[in-house]
Amino acid sequence: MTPTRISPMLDRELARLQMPYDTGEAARRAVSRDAWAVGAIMEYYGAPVEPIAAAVLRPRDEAEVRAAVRWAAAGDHPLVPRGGGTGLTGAAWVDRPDAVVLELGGLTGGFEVDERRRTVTAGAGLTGARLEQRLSALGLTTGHQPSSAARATVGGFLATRSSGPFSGRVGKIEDLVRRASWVDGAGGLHEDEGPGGFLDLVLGCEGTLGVFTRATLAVQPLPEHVAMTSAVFDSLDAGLAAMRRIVQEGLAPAFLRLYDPSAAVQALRSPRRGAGAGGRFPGGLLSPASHLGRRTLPWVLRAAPLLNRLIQETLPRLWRNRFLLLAGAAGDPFGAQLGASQMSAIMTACGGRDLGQEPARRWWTHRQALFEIRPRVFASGAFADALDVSTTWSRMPGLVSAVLEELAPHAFVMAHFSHAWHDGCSAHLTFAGAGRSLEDTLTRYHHVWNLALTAAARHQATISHHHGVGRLKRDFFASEHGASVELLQRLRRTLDPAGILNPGALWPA
Amino acid sequence: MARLSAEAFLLRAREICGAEHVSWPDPSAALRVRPSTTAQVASLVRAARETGCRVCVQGRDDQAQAAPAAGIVELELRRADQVIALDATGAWVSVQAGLTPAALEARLAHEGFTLRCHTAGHGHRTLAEVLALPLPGLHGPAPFRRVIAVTAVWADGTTLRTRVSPRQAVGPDPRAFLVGGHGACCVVTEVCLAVFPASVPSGFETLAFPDLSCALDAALRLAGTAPPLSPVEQALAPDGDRWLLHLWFRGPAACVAVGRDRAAHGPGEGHGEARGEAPARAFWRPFSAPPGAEVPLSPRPLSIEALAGLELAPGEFISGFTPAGAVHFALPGAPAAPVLLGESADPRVRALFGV
Repeated sequence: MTPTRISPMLDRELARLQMPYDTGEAARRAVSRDAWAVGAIMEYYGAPVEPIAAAVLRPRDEAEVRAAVRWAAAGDHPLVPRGGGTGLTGAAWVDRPDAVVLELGGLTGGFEVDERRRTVTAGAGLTGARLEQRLSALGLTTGHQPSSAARATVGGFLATRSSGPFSGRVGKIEDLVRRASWVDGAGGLHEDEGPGGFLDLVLGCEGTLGVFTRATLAVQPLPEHVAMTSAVFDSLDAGLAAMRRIVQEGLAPAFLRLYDPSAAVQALRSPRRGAGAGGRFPGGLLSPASHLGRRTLPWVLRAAPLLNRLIQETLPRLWRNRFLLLAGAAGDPFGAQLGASQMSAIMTACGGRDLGQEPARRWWTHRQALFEIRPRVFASGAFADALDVSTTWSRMPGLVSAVLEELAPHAFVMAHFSHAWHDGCSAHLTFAGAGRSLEDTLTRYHHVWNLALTAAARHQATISHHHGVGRLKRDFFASEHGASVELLQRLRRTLDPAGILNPGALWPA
Repeated sequence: MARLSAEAFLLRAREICGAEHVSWPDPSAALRVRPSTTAQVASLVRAARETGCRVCVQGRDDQAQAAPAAGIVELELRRADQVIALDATGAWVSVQAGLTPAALEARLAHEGFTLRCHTAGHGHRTLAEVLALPLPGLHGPAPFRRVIAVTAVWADGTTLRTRVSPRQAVGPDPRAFLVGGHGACCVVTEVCLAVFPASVPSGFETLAFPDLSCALDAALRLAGTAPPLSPVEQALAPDGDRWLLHLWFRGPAACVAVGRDRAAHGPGEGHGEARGEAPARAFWRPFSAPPGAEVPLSPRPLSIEALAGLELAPGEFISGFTPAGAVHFALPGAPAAPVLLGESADPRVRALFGV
């Protein structure tokens, strides 16, 4: 299929909007995909990215967003709002040749800090990294620093209910937002206060109910110090019990992460070692960064059942420690140290063996580098993705064993647990596999997702804790919301009567 | 017309709940129905729509509510008072929303848990009513959201049931919206709430200040303290010519001790005079008043600027401090008009009902 030729009429209409736009093929192609694995798989096999957007609109302020939405509603043009394009689920993904991408990266004005109220107001197009950089200069932080923050935007955070590794201290984005402005599908401007209320019905809408233009978020002083501690446990249950007690006993860890044996190896590898011969840990042999790893990874991953068994049986012998729990407490030096020592005491009481601060510090130092592995996996012809589910503490062990059991015959799987809340936590199940052709790889990829989400739904877990739904998980939207779907559909018809806002994302078409 | 509608509804309500749970002593008064299950509430709301009756939830508003007019159906949820499940591991309890916090606290005490909240005189109202209000302890700091799941009957009679899960990113999250809209958008019939192990230590401290300005400065400073050394709740109340700041800490004993010590004697100005733990412990003691003896206070969120000029009557207090402001819990004023189901003040919500 060749890219849609732009009609002169569309070009004239866009010009009349008097805002920056682009109808060049390269620009349209660049914004037609987000970071969903399907794009990378297709790229590896040289499959063309089709369809691509008909045009890209780049509004510079709220008024231009409203004008763009009104134009789209009047002409029935599907609009795909796009922030940093870092989503993993195909929320900012063009699947219709008549779609117009609304690129929101230009909404960076209006940065304002209210030190007394401890809030920052920022345009939806400001990236998380830039926001933190500007706040840091004032000695402040939102504490919301997801791994995608270098490119992900404030509006994207709100649209996907995102979460960062320090959620135990500051919460998810819905806990931080104090006010947000957004434009509905008819171009109407809304301003709602949070947390709670009507805003909670729009947060996480992935651009299907409205387009975020501005947000006021809570900030706090940069912590003076982060004290850390680590321990290993002989079982998943013991590790989860320690996590649970830490949060239920009123401690608010800056981070709290439990890794299964395979994931622990990955978490503790330093990127420098990984970039070389693959590191001294057994997992290094599979490192996609090494030449051997790149050549052999797809072969190895096609034998996923054997690999899973091998790792489960040999890893504990090679590396005595099994389930690794890393924790950090932030604050003034004495307070942070006190928090860390209390967490360490709970870990020990739950059967953990103290490893001191070094493992946690190593993760802290290299936490962003771990995400560089993903593109390298795709470059080898294999695929990798992550299922982020959450459920209550009592359901978690059953959920994890069910998902692992379903996936183990089809993909290499490892798990870690983060985002610990009073009533439960999220499980992050990373899986990798490979096929023999584009079709075979995509079939395997979707099959693995289908198995994982079916198992999650069967165990009454939420199908997404912070990655969102996009096009990847939309068929499970109804299983998550049950009878509320009718209310939510009504909400959608009310806010977007023309049905132009990101059709195909979040809700089944 | 209204009377005909009410009479038609009366017959349906008797079929749904049983005649003994429907009362209409005087045709010039509201018709009161006492359902005990979600299914009954849903049937009643549908019946009301079909017969053209307007519905209000009894005692929904925080202020004393004016008596509903003739022909209005008043739903009273107090019969829906069962504990459905308690998950000791997950520290949550699932209950019918007609239960009162006082009754739930008594039942939780047997299981070693507590609600950990101050209901500002609302301890003997239903949980559905109380959860719709901003009350100290119920709506805590950012990482903590008290309501884990909700079952509610929407104004058109549809039953909505959210999943029991800590957090999600699967589109809109209606939990907070439904709980806050109890009475106006929906009738909350069941809730799943986070509860706290009673074994976790609590600590109290009271600081006395000569004026409101100093006390507010101290409260706002403490609200910005990093956990786990920050108080979980603070309340500021007048006491003669002094202002007392009642602090409530919760967490490991060492953290509680350091938090108390820092609040009373830490570095910086304006710490107030430490009065020990007794006054704060008495203030935060849950549900000490018998039914009928409590005066439900009306919560009014106020900015920092508005707080500075505030005058408090005896019995009133300020709590729920954030760096941006706090909540003034005031003695009730004039009775408010009843809030009618499906007649939200927000036009966007009314549009959801097709109004």
